[in-house]
Amino acid sequence: MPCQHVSFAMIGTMLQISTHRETNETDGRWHATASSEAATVIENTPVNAEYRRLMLSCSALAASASPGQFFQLLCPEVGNDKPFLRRPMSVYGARRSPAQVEFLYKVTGAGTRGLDSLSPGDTLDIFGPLGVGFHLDPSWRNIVVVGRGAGLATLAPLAQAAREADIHVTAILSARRPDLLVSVELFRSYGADVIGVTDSEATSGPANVEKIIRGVIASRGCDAFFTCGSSRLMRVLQRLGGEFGIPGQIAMEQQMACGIGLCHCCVRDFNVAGDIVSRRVCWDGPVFDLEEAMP
Amino acid sequence: MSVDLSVEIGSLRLRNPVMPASGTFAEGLEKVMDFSRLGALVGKTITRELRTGNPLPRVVEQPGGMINSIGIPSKGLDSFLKKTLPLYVKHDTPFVVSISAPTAEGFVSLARDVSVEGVAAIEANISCPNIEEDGKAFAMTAESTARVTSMLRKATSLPLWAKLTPNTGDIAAVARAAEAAGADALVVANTILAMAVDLKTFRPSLGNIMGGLSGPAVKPIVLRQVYQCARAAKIPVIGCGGISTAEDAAEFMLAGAAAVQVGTATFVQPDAMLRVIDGLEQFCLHRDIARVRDLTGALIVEESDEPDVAWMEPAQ
Repeated sequence: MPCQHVSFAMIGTMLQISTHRETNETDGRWHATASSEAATVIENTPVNAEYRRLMLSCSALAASASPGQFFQLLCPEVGNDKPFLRRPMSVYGARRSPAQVEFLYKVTGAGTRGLDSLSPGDTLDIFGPLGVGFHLDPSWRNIVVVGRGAGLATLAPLAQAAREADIHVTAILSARRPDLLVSVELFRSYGADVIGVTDSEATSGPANVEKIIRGVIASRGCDAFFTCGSSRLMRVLQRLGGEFGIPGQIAMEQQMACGIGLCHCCVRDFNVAGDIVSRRVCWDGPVFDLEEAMP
Repeated sequence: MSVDLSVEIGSLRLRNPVMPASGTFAEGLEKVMDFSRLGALVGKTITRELRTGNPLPRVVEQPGGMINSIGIPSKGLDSFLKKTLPLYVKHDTPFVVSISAPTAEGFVSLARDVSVEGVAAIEANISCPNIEEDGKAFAMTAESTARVTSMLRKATSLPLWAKLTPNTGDIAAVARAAEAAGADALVVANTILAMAVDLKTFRPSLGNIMGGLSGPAVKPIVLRQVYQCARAAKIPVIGCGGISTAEDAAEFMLAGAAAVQVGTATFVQPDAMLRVIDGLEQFCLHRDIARVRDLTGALIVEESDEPDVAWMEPAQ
């Protein structure tokens, strides 16, 4: 896989993600905490039959993105495709030196068809990093990462972040077919145990995934769950989290317009101790407490 | 030469004529701009009661714009006074509170309760197409506009801006009614009632079926309405509809707007308002215009000589 060199230089920042509400006036003067800029395409190549990886050269601020954060991409117009709004895309990787950010995407509509048209040297208008990302508690020793489909891209940056925090990762990665599993080598390269489950091998059902996770909990233990990309896997983790008292985090999706909490387009309901609370995925998330998440 | 960007909206002096449109502004925008650069801050519409907002999907994009039906989710008056207002009063920029209510009496009591220190003006959102059945709003008729505006006028001593709807047959009459009832300024206009259908599912694209169209697609229509309102009323008109660039803002000002609101453009370019401010300054510099407010109503509509008058020259 061409993505082994993804790195998170801002590991200190990542471990203590402060809410973005507090970050504008640390020295009494305003400064930007997200960058809207023309990034330059370094690479835009397929990683398998469905997914492509887009690597961009960007500013230091954009490159400071943490795992779980996202960017708003102003996708280029191609032919009849004229996407008006930006498209949210979770960070697949970011590094400080040289300043780069990476995205993994599947061509599904007008926006991603535009991304597909980009060649090295082209520019792409990116806006980020945005949102609240994953939180890794330095006291944790073992985490279980469970993802499916495009969720694997969102979870991938956790691999190195966990490694640098000396946290062992067991990654249960789910896809329709083995050749569509992304991030497997990436997780392995950072010392994660990777268990691939697929529909074609009939291993991806919730019962089997639950069995695997119970095995991990019984053998090496688990301090936290991380998940993205499947509501039924989310429910498995919520049930196990309740049973074993294991906290969890989930990265959630929703159609967005502004990406910075202005428009209230991307709300989802959350169950906070029995009360249904509406939250903005772009501003309050996209990473949320697993226990409170609702499909 | 330096350009004086300041404008006056009644008794309120703004450092420049650019402010956010209600519903497209919140603290998240501070990620990309210093709020002290803006002419004013306009909050998302609040209601007295808690509102969850409309069913999803709430936004669908269109060529050159988008349709929204957010439905004014609101955490209510107490949350606004205790949590939202303190976020904005710390900036040296006038904060305008946008209010809505289902009845004129509701508007009145809410206006009273938000007439507090730190609020520079009240924008009465009497035009949201997304909270009443079938897109109805007070500002669709001159009569209901006059009624709610005159009641609001008695309820607050703060500058009162009436936000009009484009979904009316005679916006000039509505503008005159709002002025006569005591409004200090007109915000022209809210979104245009619209709809889209998803051909994959045969369902409406929006959870609320209908919504409001905004963005560059509506600019020519709202520009025309700003022109009509500025001719009909003497109070300042604040233009709002598809403004994305300084050139758009200059068009609105020439048509009669004293200031402009930028909304949907912020979703595409988060620093759109700063681009409009800087661009307006350049626009004036290049044309030797010393004060941006001199653009307001400077549209030339009188008959002029044809530029090509060669036929009048003596024959060679």
